[in-house]
Order: sequence, then C-alpha cells, then structure tokens
Amino acid sequence: MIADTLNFLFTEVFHGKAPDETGTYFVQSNESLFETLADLTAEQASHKISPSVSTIAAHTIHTNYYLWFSLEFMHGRIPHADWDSSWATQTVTEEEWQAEINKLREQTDLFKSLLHSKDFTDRDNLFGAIANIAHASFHLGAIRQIFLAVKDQTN
Amino acid sequence: MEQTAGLLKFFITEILYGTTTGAEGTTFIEGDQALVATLQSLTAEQASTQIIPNTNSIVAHLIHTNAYIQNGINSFLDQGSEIDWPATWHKQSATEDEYQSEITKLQSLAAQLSDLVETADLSNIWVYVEANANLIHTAYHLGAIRQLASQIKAQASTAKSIQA
Repeated sequence: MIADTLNFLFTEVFHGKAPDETGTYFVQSNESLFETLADLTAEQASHKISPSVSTIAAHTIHTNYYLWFSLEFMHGRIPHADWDSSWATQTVTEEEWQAEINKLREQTDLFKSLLHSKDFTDRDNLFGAIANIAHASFHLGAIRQIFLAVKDQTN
Repeated sequence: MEQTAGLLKFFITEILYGTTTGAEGTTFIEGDQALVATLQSLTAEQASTQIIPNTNSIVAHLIHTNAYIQNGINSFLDQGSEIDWPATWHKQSATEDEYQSEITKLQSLAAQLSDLVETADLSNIWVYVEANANLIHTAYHLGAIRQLASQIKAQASTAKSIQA
C-alpha cells in the first residue's frame, strides 16, 4: 500500500494524471513536470526571468541531482553530496537540455521500479521516498511559476 | 504506521517552519526559506501582487493551500464535502489584517493536520493517500510561493535603485 501510494503521487508530479484516473490530487492537465519541460526550448529553459532567480534548466539539473543522490542511497551506497555544484549550470544547449530531460526520465523510471522493492518498515527508506516526492513537487511548483514568466517574457 | 505518522509530521513541520531545532540537516528547506517565514517576510500588498500578468498572487496560493488542508482535515474527520476548487482561487488580494489572519489560519490548520495524522488510521489507503497528498501539495505551493516572492522582492529592489 505504501509503495503504491508513493508511486501514484510520484507519477502525478512527473507525468500528471493517469489516463484512467478521473481526478487529480494537485497536478492539473498539462502541468506535470515532464509536460512542462517538453514545452520549453533550451533557450527558454536557460532564460533568467530576473538576475537573482535560477533558470528552469538549473532547477531541472538540481532535481536530477537530488534524484541521483536518493538512488545512490536506495542502492545501498553513501554518495558525497555537493549541493552547490548542482546549481552551478544555469544555461544549456538544445542537446544538453534534451539529455537532461532524458536523464530525468531514466532516473524517475528507476526510482519508481525501486519503490516496489523497498522495505518501508525501514524508516530511512520511507524517509528518502517521501522526501524525494516532496522535493520534486517543490521544484515543480517553482518551475511552473518560472515557466509562466518565461512564456510571458519571450512570447 | 506510527513511524509513518512521525515522518509525515516531520515533513509538515519542515515545510512550514524549516529544519526542526536541533536537527543536523535539512531535507530540502533551508533555514528561513520555509513557508511561514517566507509569507511573514512579505507585506499584504506584496503578497497581493500579480507579478506575472493573468497568474495568481501569493495571497491566492495561500488561501488555496489553506482550503486544501481544511479539506484534508474534513476528510479525516469524515466531514468531507464537495469543494468548489476554482472558488479557492478567486480572492487575489488581501488587506494586512486578512493576510495575517490567513497566515495564522495556515499554522492552525497544519497543527490540526499533524495531530490528526497521529491518530488517523493510516492503514486505510485513502487516509494514507490524503495525508501524503496534503504534504506534497503544500510543498508544491511553497515552491511556487518562494518563486513569486523572489520575483516580487527583485522587482521592489529594482524600483528602489531607480528611485535612488
């Protein structure tokens, strides 16, 4: 039950409402992470809406890094974290942008498959899984707002 | 399920207030970047600003988040009713009193939700989904609100330098 629930909510953040679902918990149509990222060129994803605000490319790279970090733990390894470096890249080429989205797809698929093999009576496993979904949701919330500003400024 | 309840409470606290006092690290909310601190760093006027044309203000995100948590609480208490979700986005601006009252309401609702999570039957899948959805939904709006707050403050700072 825990794995199914976490998988359901994780899927909603990244892919939106499943075709056979009648409702949504919080992600409206076309507003999931993958749908949002697919609607942006590398130039738009690299567009700084104001000097102090990170780009969507940076949020995506950071989200990928957080997922990688969690996957390492899920594989029983202890990664060295360098969180500052996960925000260093703010702009991407079209090729880099597509590679980043593909990497996100691969890592989310892996995360979803590992969810079903984890023992959630283990506190660390449960903590890591919930943290990842909440973290991705936080960045989806931020990315959606930047997305609206980028579209407003670049169209 | 006691462990699950404890973790859900931990995350609700982190989203609203940041890392718990005495904790070694943070899951993703740094220091003063938590929801309550972010809201309190803005005036009602700033929170009522539609920084991007035709999009929602921070006030609207706050009111909607409160409605969502209230709905979760009602579900836990078996008092669920049909919610008019679009209506939770209608109000876009607030006076200082109204804004402070919404922030206080958020804190009160989150405390109620945390208490209910401890006593709820989390072995019931719908209860479990509702508890997690509330947490993840609030994290989503924290991300949105933080982003809007950054833009509002950047704009205010630019306006100040132009005036100077």
